[in-house]
Amino acid sequence: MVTGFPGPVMLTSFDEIRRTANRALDANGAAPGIAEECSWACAWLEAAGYDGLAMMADALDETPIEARQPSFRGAYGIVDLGGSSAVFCAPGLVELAEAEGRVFANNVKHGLYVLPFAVRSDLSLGCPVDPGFAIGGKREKNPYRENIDAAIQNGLQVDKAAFDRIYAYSRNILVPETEASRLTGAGAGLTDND
Amino acid sequence: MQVPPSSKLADRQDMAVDFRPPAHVMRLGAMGASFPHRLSFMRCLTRRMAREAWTFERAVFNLDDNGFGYAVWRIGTPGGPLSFVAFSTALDPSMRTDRVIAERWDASFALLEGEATEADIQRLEANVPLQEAGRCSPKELVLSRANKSVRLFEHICECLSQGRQPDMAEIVKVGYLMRTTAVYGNGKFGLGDYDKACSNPSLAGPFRAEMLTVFMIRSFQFDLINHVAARRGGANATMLERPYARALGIGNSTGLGMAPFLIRHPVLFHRWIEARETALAAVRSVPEADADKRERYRTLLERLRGHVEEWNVDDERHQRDIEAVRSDLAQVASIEVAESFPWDGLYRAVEQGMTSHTCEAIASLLIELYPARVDDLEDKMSAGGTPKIAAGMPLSSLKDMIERHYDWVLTIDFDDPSALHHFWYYSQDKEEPRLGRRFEEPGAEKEMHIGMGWYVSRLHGALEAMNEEQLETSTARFLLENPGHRMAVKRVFTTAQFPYSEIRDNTVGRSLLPIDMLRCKLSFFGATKFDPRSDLWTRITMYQGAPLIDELDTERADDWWSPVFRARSC
Repeated sequence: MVTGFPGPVMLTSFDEIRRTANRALDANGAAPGIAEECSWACAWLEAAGYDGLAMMADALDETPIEARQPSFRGAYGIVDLGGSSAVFCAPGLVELAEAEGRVFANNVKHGLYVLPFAVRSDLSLGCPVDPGFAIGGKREKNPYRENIDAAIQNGLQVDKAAFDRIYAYSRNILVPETEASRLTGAGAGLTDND
Repeated sequence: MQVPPSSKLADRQDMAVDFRPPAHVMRLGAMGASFPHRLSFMRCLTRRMAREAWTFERAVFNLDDNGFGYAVWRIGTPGGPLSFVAFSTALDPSMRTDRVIAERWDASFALLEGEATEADIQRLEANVPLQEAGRCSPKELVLSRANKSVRLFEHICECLSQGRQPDMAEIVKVGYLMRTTAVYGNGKFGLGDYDKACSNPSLAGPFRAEMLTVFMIRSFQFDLINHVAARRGGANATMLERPYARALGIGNSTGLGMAPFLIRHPVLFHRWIEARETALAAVRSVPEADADKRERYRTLLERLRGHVEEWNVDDERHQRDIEAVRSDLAQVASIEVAESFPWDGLYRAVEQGMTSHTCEAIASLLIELYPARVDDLEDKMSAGGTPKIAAGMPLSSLKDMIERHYDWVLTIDFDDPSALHHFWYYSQDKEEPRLGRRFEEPGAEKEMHIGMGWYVSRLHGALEAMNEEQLETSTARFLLENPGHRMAVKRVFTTAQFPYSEIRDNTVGRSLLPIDMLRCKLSFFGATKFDPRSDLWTRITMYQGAPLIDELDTERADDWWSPVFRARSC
């Protein structure tokens, strides 16, 4: 029995979280290309023991749709996110760190979303959430690998309420059908008892 | 020696001819002419099952006189046991539809990692027949369902129950006893992850678990019909003989869901195409062929001609394509194969004078000739991550990359509405992927990100508007300021490294024929007898002519390319 969630848990998979979160972001105004990466980050965070689903749901709840493709300008090595969620921009922050050596990101919400990308790029975060950190610079270890591998082999127990919130957002990608569109799908127009 | 498209295969030292360029291979017209080949996944699987001596044990066969109940197979692989579970249920004919939007089926299936326990069976029985409405566990790797071809099933069952074999002409005409209407893998309904499936090395390949499931469904259909015929005919009944069984594959109606996959998995798609092109270049590079190879070529050419003769479709345009191939192959038979670089010469003659369909058919044939030069490529057909953006690269270099790798995009006027005529979307009806007309139908605001040419064109336009100083900005900072271009930037970096990753046509334009994408992907599956029912979906046959489950240790396990079935009547 997994503890730590306030309500019921559900058994899901890394890929199912990624797929559902991908649609949730794609359907709700995230920049094209962000969904693919941050949905992976969502599954990664859940596998590592963090609340990736709940953070993403909070980000979608709290961010007006017109603000879900945040654009930032700033001095070399410094970005002020003005309270924007990293759910919508995390990979870009890590890329900027790669391009400019290091980045000071201020006023970040859901900053944990930077962690999967930092680990992937062997970069350390300068904050204590990351057990692999070494005051910036090159990452020295990946303490998450074992958890990720276990999640892939055994599935993931997640907070069902958080998953349901993301699933509800993912449904926004669906277009109501019309009779005309129904007639174009695979198998349409054939006698099925032949 | 020509340099192969990506570094991974650059260690091949035996290439004397060019790889076919992406500018040709990745056009929709060429993709829509694809033929299955020996690197197709069904072929790879039967070869692997034979090579690794997989075992198959029917552990449970609990079906009633009408064939309703369940059955379980234990599959032994070097990487560990698997289980295949089939549920056969009574279905009101009014509920039988091949649409993905159906809610009941004649049979449903699951492929599991490990042994299926009693508790697993009970859990699966409550969920697998429900398909999308049920729930799987990470132990399950594939979920599928199928409907009977009622008329052929009844014909064969009646013949067998009376002690006769069925009409071979009928079998060849239909090609299957059951047709799948969905084969679901990772990411859906709680099914186990792809990486989990790959932890069994025997399943580590694209769509291998799915292809195994379809192979097992094919085996199930034989056991099912023999069982029902035996119960119906009693002592008079006979079993389906091997030649008839081999002629039966599994049918499928394949729709638009196949196409977005190719666009969303660019590195994987590149790997598939690169493997096929490497195989073709390797064979074309053979400097001379001995008498055995020449004889084998003649045998395969005759087989190909027979296969195409037995292939007929209702769609007029595609029937014309098939007839053109028949005509071309008659000419190919008269081409004298040269002494020096025989296969390159043959290929060039076909490429210069015949249709793209014939060209792809001959490419498939040539690949079939040299297993030793080709078969190791199957291990290079999986992805391996997406390339990272070179974050520090100045935009001027990014612009150069676009002009080098996306020159085809720069010829399309995306201000012309016809260039944006289509949009791809998921329907509320069981999430079925569909294609809409952007300016006539609702829903374009929810479109899938499929029009890569359009995105790259907009990115190029933004870079064109910059001055020299602005073009020295790093790509990372540009993306932070302009997040809307993220997908386009990623595609440019991917295509620069994996040139077979991008379809080089407008995938949202008015002239788009999605059937071209479907055929390309299905050819990599190993599907045959493409039978397009519109520009949007096709019927196919899988495993027709393949070895039966107890024939994998025989010579025929790997010799079922372009199968031919002489029509015999009972």
